[in-house]
Amino acid sequence: MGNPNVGKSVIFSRLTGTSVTSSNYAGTTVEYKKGLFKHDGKNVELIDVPGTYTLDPTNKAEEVAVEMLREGDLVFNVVDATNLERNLNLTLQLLEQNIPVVILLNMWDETHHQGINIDLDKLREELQVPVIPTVATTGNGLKKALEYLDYREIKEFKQRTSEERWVEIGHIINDVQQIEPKHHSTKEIMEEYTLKPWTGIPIAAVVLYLTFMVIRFIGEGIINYIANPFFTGPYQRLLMRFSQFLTEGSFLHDLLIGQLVNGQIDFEQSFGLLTTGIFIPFAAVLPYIISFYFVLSLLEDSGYLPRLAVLVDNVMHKVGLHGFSIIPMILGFGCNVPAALAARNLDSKREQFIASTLMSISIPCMAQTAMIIGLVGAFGGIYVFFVFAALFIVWIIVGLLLNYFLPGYSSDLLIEIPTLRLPLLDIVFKKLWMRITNFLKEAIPFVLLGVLAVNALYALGFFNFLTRMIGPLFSVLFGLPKDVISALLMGFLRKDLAMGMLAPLDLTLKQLIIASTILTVYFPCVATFIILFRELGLKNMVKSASIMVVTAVSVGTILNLGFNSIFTAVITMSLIFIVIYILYRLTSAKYKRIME
Amino acid sequence: MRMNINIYSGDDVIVKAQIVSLSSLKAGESGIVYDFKGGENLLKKLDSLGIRKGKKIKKVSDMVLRGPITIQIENSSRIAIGRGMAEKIMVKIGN
Repeated sequence: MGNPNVGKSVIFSRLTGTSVTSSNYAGTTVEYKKGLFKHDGKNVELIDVPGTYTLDPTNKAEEVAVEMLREGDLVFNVVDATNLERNLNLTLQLLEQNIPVVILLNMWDETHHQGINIDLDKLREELQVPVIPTVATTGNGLKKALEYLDYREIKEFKQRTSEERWVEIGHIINDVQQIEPKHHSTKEIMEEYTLKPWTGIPIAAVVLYLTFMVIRFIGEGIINYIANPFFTGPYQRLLMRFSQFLTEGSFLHDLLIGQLVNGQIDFEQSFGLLTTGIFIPFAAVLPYIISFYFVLSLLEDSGYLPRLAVLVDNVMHKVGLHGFSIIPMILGFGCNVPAALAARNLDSKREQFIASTLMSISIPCMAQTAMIIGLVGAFGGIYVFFVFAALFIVWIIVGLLLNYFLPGYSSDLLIEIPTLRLPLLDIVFKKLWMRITNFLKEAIPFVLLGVLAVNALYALGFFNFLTRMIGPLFSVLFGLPKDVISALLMGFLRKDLAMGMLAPLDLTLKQLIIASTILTVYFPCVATFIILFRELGLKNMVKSASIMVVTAVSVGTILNLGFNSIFTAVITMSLIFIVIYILYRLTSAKYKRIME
Repeated sequence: MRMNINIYSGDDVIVKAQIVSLSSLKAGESGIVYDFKGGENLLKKLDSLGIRKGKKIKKVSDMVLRGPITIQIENSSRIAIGRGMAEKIMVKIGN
């Protein structure tokens, strides 16, 4: 246990070998994680809990931490040595619980750089428990820590009030810590530039631009130089031979290879298990998953993200959130599942609801984005931008509406801004590896299942039936061919697969843009759906899902009917801006009313 | 909001200080946390992050358009605080 961002997760993964997500900002671990390892021939179970500042929890993640306290035989309290005073607050509270505690004084190496001197012996004497200096990032001191696994001594501490505790901490700090007067280091001055408006905003623009460019560069690079040459080369030749062996039109051929297009396998259109079923996760999506998570891990570990939270705070307030919710939003671009989990770090149920709903509605996950880039991007990169611009406008309008109609208001931002660190590459790669394997474990079964289901439902005539039933509505409202319905249906299983089903339909550019946007907005995939259900509860989940469906229908209709010609496009855009302006004034007025 | 206070000893002014809210402190200025104008909940949240009466702090930056305020707590962490909350934190500056 310990404060947020002190290195608990890194220590956990060093000891158990399990990869755990850790980042250089508060609130990475939102649920506890258990890990097993062997020490001296005995099995040891280690639990990694979310960071908390006190045992008097202020949000769900902290509650989890406090609940876990009763589970263990021994608590390793991880303490940030460079911030001893504040960390000791939790330490004293732990000691007052009368449970065995061993203190890991982490980031020990940093103390020397910062001119902090801590007298370890005196600290041990004052706290009456073992104190072990550690450096989680290199693993120093962890061996020593393991020697205390059987430590069970309980020191009786009297209960204190918050005030008494701070007085006590004051005494301890006076006795054990000496800080050399610090001059303002260059690094600190540089760090402050990222927080000041006139330098921070341009820096953020550059960081985001670079992020985007690097993700595209790596993603396209893998597709063009590795994935495509392999799939259209040896893999296709192998499958063609297999196809001849099975003979076209046979049941197994339809299932494994699918339909041949002009006598050839077309990885986007054939829709067999071995063709499209393997192509979508590995060749179309995986390259972007790799590049996105690589860049995200670098951003996370550098400690830059909380600075972004400061910069976007006031925009987030307009939609009823505060700056910290930029983190679930960014995570959503990778996968909506961890994003929906991260939303529980927010301060209130209202914020959690708004953030989860907005994220599910307008943030396409990387699997879907990769397919959007593949299909829409084929017409030109600018059109991918159109899809994202449409989604951003949806985000603003739905956000303003939610903020206006939901009772209550957004709370204020309050976060620790960590120092910027150079990300450690071995931890970045460990994290990347874990996220990639997670993606493969999740995606491949679902995509294969989806391909199977698509073929079965076609064979049973279910799609035909559905198309006849609600198809006409689609062509009238969205200007889309009836067959798109089957893609929307499959989108519940996986969105990348649904995008793949659009490929054989020969859609025009406008239809593709509309279909991509609707596919993002209308409903989350089943994995996200389950998490939302668990996190929000049935009632709010239904509420959130209804908002998604209504939004999808409105957006599809507006995109279809509002952008028939340049003339109607100009009128539609002006109307959209007027609506945004009115909503903005309404929410501001609501806030003024509340404040008075 | 700014307000001047004088602390007297007999007739002599011994301390001359200003109490300002954190939001009206200028970027770069330092001060000592003096009081909070909020409820129990606010106090608890700030306390857990190490912001409490008597702590020396420096305002690092002030985001435009009523954005958050970043402070550096002496010998401790750097914290970003939303505007509404910052208005409730009173800081003593001057001698």
